[in-house]
Amino acid sequence: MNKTSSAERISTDLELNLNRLKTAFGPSSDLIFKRISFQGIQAAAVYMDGLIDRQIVHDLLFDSIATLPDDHPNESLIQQLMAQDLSIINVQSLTDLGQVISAVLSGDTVLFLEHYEEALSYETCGGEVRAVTEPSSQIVIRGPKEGFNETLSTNVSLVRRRIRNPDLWLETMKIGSVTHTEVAMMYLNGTAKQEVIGEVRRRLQNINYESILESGYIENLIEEQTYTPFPTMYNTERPDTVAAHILEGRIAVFVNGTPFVLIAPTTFFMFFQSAEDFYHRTDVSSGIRFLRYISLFISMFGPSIYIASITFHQEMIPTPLLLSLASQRESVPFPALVEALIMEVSFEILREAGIRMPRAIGQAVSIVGALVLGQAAVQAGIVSSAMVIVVALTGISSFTTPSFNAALSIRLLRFVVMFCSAFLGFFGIAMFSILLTAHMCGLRSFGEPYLSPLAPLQADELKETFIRRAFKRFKPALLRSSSRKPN
Amino acid sequence: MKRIVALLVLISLCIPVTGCWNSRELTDISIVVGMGIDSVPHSDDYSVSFQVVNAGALSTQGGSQGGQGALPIVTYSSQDSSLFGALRKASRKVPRRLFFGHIQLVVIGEEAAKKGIGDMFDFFERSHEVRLSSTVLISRGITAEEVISTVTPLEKTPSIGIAKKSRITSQVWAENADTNVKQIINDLVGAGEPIIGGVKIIGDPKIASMEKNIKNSQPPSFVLIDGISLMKNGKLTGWLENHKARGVMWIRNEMKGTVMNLPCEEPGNSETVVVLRSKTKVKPSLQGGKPKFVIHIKEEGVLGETSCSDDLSDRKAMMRIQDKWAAQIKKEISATVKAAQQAESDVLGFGSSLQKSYPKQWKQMENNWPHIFSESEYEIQIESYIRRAGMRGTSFKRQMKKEAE
Repeated sequence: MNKTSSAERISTDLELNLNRLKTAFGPSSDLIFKRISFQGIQAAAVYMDGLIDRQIVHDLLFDSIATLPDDHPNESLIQQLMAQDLSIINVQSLTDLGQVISAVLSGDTVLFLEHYEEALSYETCGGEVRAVTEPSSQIVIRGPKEGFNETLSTNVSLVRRRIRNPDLWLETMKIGSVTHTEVAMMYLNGTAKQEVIGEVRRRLQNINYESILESGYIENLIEEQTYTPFPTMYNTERPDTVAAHILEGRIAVFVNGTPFVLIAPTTFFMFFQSAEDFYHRTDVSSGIRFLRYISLFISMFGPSIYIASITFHQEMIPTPLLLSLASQRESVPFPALVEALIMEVSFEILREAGIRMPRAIGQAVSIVGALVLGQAAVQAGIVSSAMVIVVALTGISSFTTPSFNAALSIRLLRFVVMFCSAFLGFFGIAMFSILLTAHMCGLRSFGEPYLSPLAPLQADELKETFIRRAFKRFKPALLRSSSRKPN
Repeated sequence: MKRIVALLVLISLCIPVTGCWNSRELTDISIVVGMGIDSVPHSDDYSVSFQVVNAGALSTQGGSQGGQGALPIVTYSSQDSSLFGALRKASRKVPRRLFFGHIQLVVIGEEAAKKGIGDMFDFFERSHEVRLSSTVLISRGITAEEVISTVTPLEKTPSIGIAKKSRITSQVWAENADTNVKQIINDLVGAGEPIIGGVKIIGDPKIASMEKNIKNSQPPSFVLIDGISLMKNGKLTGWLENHKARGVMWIRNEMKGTVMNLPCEEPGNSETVVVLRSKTKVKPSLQGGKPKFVIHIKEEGVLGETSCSDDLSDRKAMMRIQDKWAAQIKKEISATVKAAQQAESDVLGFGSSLQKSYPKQWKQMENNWPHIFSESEYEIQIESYIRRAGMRGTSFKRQMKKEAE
């Protein structure tokens, strides 16, 4: 489209302005021009249908503007309009066409006046948005059931309601050379470290990309540029989680158009904490947290330990169990690794299919999956029953991770460990663990070590990671900068 | 950057180059659960037999071959002058690699035991695969191969069954010792002699290895654990049986429980005491160069059964039973020590207690120890306590008697 028009100034000729706009927007039929005249002046209001709240625009045009009293004939009309008390609608005066285009695309109504070189933009955004409902992921039993929706201002307000403190600062910017998506950074001034704030801001401003459709794009563009299977930014749909992390000194990044809010910097252990842990009692929460770490271990190493024991270290299995396993494997023609891969890949296929399948046939597929994979494969002698159990347990354990993107990484790693264990038994698993731990120790997320507070060791915080301490002794101190005193 | 990637690729290629290390699929190995060592007559060779699990027969899921109806074990044997040689030689008969990581039972033939067991156990200690915790038994009257070939009801793998038998009977009846390879090696190196349990087959050994042995509710042949060995310098010289064998367990402080019958005042009836806990201390002393051993036993027991008619609510009656019990134990232990001394076989652990207390004098005695042992003096002191009389006090028999009067 004709980009040179955006730098042009508004002319006094109404028709010229309107024609330039029409050229810029092409045949877009949702750009509405409403001509009104009042006080003897021709005027036109321009807005994008769908981005505005019709009631407000109607009230604006036909009640407020059209009925502007003719009291001060000597003052400029622009000034009179700006001085008008329009309750909560903000009024701005614009001077060039680029600003007008930007305003119209943000949901404002722009008023052009004949003979005036300025245009007024009224904030009238509205339109159809999804209601604030329960988040689809990260469900809790006890806790608020509000989830973010796709509108940035709503999301920001949900967090503001929880932290009513003037130190909660919000910085907005537009990212994406084509999409001009609104992105906002929110942090608690004085708690968050200045270096981290600066780093996040710098990385956001350095994004040179055309389209930002989801926070995932932002995540990919600003995260650490090391090759790692682990996510280095946390995302969540829950306002209470975001508020909790902001209070710990982290920075939240909101992206218009998605309910998923990013949080930086991240540690590995954040992916295994759920908001619910803090709403239940400490002993119960500690137990469940332990369970999560055990499930993490099972979901990563389950099939590998089975393969390693069966193939290399048969002497480690108790004799009656070994005899039972041996009798099951008599009929299976494949080596343990191939059997494990068949089952794991089938499970992954089932899982992916389950996400995208229409609800009507969901039940049928789960029955087919259970029957086909489990029973029939065992009876046909393709896999052994023990393998089915191992794979099922592994699969279910992987669902206990509260954060979906961490679960994805672990699923991927599971296949790598399986290969390591098939070649070198427990030694292979040990080697892999050492390499993985070394890699994770060296990983940083916006300057914060990934395995903090385990490495570097902060013994005080460590108690909060694996179990939950009682609130009396609970002091969030993670990214505390020196200016804020602990409560 | 390219060099780093190339280096990483080279390093990661090292992993599959090892050829999967010592990966063995379960279908490539046959698990050996029992091993029998016999001596070949008129030669120094060993005849080694293996009890191998037939995994397919144990299977409970469909699609298996070698399936239902087949016996759960198969026995193979081979001969060679060394144990390791016999193992590898058996590969000519066995369709898979033998895997010894789960050996539960080792049976030594009587003839081989008479020739000496010291040479056999080096293989067990040196091998990285064989377990040192497997039970050892000596077969009496039959070859080890015949014991290894028996099929037993109730327990699918007979070796596990026989090993369990040995362990349980040593804990509840205590006329048998449950020793494993590690203990035997320790005893061979140490001052005394090892004690090894004996095993017999009651019934026809040929039928014991056939299917009809397990398809019968009264199996025609079964395995019996009987007796404790008497050895001299690692060679089998005789057997201790019944109550004398029990004495050995007492003196070695390995008594975990047994049952003793004590006669009543009236003839023909007896009462039974169940031993709960027993602690033995053997204190050696040297008297004029000759060793003397004081055996102090502290026993706790429970009255298990009685057909006597004493009034058990009377404290004196319980004291009488206690004294009777102590006397009975003393008798049994004297008989044991005499029998061991007669065979010049220190299975009682006297040598090791003497070595601990008098190491200098022991050095002079150790070469002639079997002889010195047979002439040592001993004294037995018994402290016995009966803690309870079970769930009932005085027997109902007393009430029966009263009504009859």
